[in-house]
Amino acid sequence: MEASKGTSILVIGYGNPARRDDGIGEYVVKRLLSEKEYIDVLSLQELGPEICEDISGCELVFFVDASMDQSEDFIVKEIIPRYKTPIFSHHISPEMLLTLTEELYGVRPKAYLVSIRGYDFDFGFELTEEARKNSEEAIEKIKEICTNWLLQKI
Amino acid sequence: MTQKITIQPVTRIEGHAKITIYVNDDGKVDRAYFHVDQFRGFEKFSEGRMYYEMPVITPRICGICPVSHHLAAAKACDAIISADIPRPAKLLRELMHMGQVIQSHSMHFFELAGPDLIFGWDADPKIRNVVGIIEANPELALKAVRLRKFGQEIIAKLGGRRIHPSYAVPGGVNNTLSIKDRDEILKEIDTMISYIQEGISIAKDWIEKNKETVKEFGVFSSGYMGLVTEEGGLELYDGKVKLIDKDGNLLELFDGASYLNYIGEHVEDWSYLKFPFYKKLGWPDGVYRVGPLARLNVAEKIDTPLAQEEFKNFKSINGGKPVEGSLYYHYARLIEDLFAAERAKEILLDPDILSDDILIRTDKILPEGVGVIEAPRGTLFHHYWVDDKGAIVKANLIVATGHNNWAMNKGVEEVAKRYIDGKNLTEGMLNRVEGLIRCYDPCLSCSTHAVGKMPMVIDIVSSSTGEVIGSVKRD
Repeated sequence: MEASKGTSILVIGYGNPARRDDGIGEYVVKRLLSEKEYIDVLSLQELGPEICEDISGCELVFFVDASMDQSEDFIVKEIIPRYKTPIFSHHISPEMLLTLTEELYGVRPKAYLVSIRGYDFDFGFELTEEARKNSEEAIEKIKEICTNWLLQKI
Repeated sequence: MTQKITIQPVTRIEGHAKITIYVNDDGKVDRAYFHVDQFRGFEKFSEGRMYYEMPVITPRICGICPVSHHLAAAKACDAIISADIPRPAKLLRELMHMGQVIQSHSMHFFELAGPDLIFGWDADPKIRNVVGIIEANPELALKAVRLRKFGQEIIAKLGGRRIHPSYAVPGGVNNTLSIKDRDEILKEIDTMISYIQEGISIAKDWIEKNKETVKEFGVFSSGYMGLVTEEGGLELYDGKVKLIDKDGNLLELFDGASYLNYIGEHVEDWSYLKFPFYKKLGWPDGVYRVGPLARLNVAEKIDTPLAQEEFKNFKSINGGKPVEGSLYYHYARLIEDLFAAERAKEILLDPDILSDDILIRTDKILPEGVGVIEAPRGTLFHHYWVDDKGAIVKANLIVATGHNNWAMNKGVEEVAKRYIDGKNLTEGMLNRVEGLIRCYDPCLSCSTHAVGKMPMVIDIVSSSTGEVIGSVKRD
């Protein structure tokens, strides 16, 4: 899923919407479609290297993912490029994507990982109520960071 | 005392795949397993859904090869409504499939296999990676990313979404290709072909310089299976299923819809992933491989000129007999990549590609339908049984990683026995085992329905005491 282009903020939601709360990333992206005048969005099942080019054109990037390894409803933390060895997996981490973007395009955008707590990762297309609530709170935080960032640019 | 070495991916959904290597007191490998410890429940999840939902639902199985599932599902649905889809629709679906093959094969070679080939098995892991490739050859790395993106753009121009397209529908496709989009793809395609040829040069150069390794690394006999054209050529979208034995003799040439007559599935209690085999030879004599190496082994030619030239070279490797070395998967993968790019160009130059004759409707609902396609990693079967309203009552999916389950186990054991010294374990030894798996490019999302992350844990465990002797984690 791709929204409008041309802004400097990109929100990448990733995960599998057929695995209930793993669809948090797509949920957040869909909700942010209404903000597309100043936020680009991208929804993916897994991160791939081809999006380095999209990232390289942005100044602020959010990676939104579901997590079952945290007690907090959501966590927003700034991330920097970091290499992670792929073994035989096709999965690429956000930090690795930032590394590739920096190496390939010489650009290092400000980036945040937004981890949102999920509860049920079984087959199904509906988020749990708790995951939906956590996602809404995370969306407000993403908007707040974006607003502050844009104000600083003025 | 026997030691057990375990190489285990860990995800936020527990389970899925790992490698276990048992080492005896002398440090020699007794046996090794590649096993999947997560049950794949997608077939059950499909029950009760309407058949026409399957092309939309099944791509969710996998974020790596969603187009393959999308098209296999659509083909199964065609069979359910008894639709012989219009030629333009077939071409458009095949074009999308070529986009999938280009992005998948290109990504694999440059990012997963490339670091081993360019820097060597024993190179420092700090440089033996895709970042190392970027630093050593940034132009090559950019080309790899552009190839991947090019494949994705073909998919996006047809399906509208890069990862989970909604394009193929029962009876055809739901959108035509515009002249503008056709020309934009065509404009890039010769450049992409040259990039792939560059990758082939790297692979051939590596093979030439590492002849001894290639001869001994994961080399073993098996049958081979893949789709072929009516004239016996390489086929990725349609055609008949061809099965040959280890010497290249024809075992079967059959319509994919009758696969249950030929393919059985063996079960082991240490893995949730089944082991398909050729029924007439039984288990384990009927084991076979799928994917790029297998497809080139079963094919008699390739119908595009540049790929055909490489194919002749491939066939000369073993005097026309099947090529057995697992490392040749990398070479075969790039030859297919070249074919996919050339075939995409052919399709785009076909006048029918712009036709609006893209959909046929019927009022039939047959009780079952099978869709078969060559996914990047091998033959993919989707089989649905439906009630008279079209609701799925049963589904059976055989994915490429399943077909290659035996081969990956065999290969892991061969490589572990040859290279692992349990008393002087090195990173390079374990990298060779991982490298064997990379030859087959398994899709663990397809075979286990894992979600996302896959860091690895390598545990060395005493099987007699259960004590963890050593552990290495990569995340």
